[in-house]
Amino acid sequence: MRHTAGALMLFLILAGFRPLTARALEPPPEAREGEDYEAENTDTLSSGEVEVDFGATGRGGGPMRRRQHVRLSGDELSAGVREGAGDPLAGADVRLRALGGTLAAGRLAPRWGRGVVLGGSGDPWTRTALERDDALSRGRTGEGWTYRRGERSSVAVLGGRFARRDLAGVSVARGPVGLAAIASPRLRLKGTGTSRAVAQRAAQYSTWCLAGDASAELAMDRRGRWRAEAAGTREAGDWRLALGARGGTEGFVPLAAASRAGPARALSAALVRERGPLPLSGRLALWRFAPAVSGARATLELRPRVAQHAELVVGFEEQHGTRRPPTDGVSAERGLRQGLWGEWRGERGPLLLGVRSETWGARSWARSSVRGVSTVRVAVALPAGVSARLTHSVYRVRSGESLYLPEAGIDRLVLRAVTGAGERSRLEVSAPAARGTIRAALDLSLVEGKLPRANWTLDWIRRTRTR
Amino acid sequence: MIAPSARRPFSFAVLIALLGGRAVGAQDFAAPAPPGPGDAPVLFLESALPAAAGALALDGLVLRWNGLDELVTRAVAIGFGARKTRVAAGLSQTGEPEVGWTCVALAAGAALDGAGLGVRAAGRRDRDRGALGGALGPGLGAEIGFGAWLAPSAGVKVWTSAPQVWRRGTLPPLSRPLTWGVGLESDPVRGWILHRSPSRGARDMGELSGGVAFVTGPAIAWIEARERPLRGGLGLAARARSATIAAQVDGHPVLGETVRLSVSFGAARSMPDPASAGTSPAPPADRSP
Repeated sequence: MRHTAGALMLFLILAGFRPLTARALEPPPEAREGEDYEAENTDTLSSGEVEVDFGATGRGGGPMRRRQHVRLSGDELSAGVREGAGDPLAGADVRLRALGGTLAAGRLAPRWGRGVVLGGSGDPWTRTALERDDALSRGRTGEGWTYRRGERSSVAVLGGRFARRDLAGVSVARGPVGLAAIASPRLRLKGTGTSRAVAQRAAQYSTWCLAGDASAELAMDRRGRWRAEAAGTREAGDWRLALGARGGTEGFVPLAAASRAGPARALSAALVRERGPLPLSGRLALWRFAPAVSGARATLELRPRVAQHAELVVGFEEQHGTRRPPTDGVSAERGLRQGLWGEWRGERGPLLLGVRSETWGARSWARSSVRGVSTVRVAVALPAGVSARLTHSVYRVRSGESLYLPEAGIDRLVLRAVTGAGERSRLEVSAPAARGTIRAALDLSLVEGKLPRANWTLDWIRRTRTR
Repeated sequence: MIAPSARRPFSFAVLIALLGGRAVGAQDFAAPAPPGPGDAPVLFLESALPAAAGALALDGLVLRWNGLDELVTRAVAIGFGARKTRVAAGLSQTGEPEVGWTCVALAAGAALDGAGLGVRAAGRRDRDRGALGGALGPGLGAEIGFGAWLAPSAGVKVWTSAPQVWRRGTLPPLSRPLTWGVGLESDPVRGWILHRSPSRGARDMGELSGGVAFVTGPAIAWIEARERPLRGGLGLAARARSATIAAQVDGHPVLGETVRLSVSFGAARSMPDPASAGTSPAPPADRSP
């Protein structure tokens, strides 16, 4: 029975029984353009569960790379270790109840307040007050330790290395209101040509209020540079409205996430209707990093109700400007981009079929196409707990543009960067084996002007309860 | 009559034009039928979309590509099903000995209640004995692809076909990309929209096509429009007892007309139908809005 449940769970993961990924996924702005990006899965273990995964991968005929991870979750102790050569997610974390509070160490992703100083407040074009806080929007974090005591009235201390800085901080919260200070004893600055370490203290202070549907945070550093951010949501019948605003000094950079500072000024609004005959969501964001370095996005997605076992999403987005801060005074400013996409998924018995098509252009109505991709997915549940999924994508990406194809792994989401004209096929098979589940995946990439490239992944995963 | 020595470069030029012109997205078993799943074994071999019905069927097919007598395809195929399993096999030959090729194809799949999934494999050999070597041998090529269709509710069908996901050896005459389509039915009219991704090596961003079919008694007539360049086609199929005769003409402003003719024999055959072919009645829950 447990095997059947495990196999079913894996099939659900493989088949993708999740809300349709409507808008195109893109890595956070600090990720390097045109490179693969990996983010941790957001699924969590129930209390008393243990998960073990042993895997191996091979890319393009290169040497086999092993990787493994162990996770356990309990009332008193939770821990995880992820290890593997070249694995960007490798690391360990432990969280236990001690000294009347909770002590966490290892890889950390803490957030204080709205995250202006610690945790990242998210980019206004991807996350409004309505969006969940997933690993992709938060990006990668740091390593160290935290201790937190109390719930309504809490005290938290932190020490570790974030964004290549040694940091220490303390926060105090009472009810919805909190205060925090975070300091770095040393700051690394890049000199002309060579890197040099400069002994320079830096500190930032923050106060916030998280009150139900509204939240606000004000942060300031020792030089008087500041950033303020506020967001709120309001419901009216089937409709939900979220508004957000950010303002401050352009030179303010969070000590714990220098690369995720985001724009200094931003306005965002989201309107969502999840029920009714035509569920929809609309989003508008305007932001500015510096004078003449700004951007804007407007998105509209419609989810018309179709058959009982099918979903459909159609969307439109217009983009202006850049979502990256200027580097060495140079901004990767981009002109107009308009995108149209549609995704349909249907299920009939053991078969699931999904189709997605997306096109982006440099002129209105997505004309003068700069990138496009069509993807089909076929998943089938076979007898004895075996399931298979085949994903096939055909893409065209013009020079200077980026396209990322999402790939759901056992413990991670991988955004594969593709360029040029090509095709990508991925076959995944999973089956119960050795009281766990074995999952094999084979990728075949065909890019115009290059030799075919095959990658493979093999994982054995087992999730069990300790009591 | 063109002398044999002169015919070869001329025919090669025609083939190149075909390769670059995206005349049709079909190849060795391109039967006259609206796009999408159908009962004919040739359709299963061409697109890997299994028939909903599993009756024994035999197909014969003749195509003249772009009005060229030197480029005629002749094909035969047989298909049958047992319970949910569907199998088809076929043999096709295209063109004259100097530039033509012979193709053997096999397709296998399953048809469930309102859904189907199939895979196809084709092996191709140049008829020219002096063909150049390849990874599989002189003039030899192979390809594998898949197709799937699903009827989420009565009168609606969605399908996808990727007939050349993997290929090796001598390249096929036409690169056949990923396609997906949606068919709708409201008797006696049926309509469809088909999206074709860009072919390998092509500089375009794919194309859309659409068509409408009218069913009257044992006959069905359809017209289809395609973009880039704008062109169209029309077809007609009629059934008498266990035999079905179908014909289709596709126009092209540059490359000329492609004519297809097929004869099929089989028990309890249904008409080619993009929206409702083989769709079993949906359970009441699926009919609710």
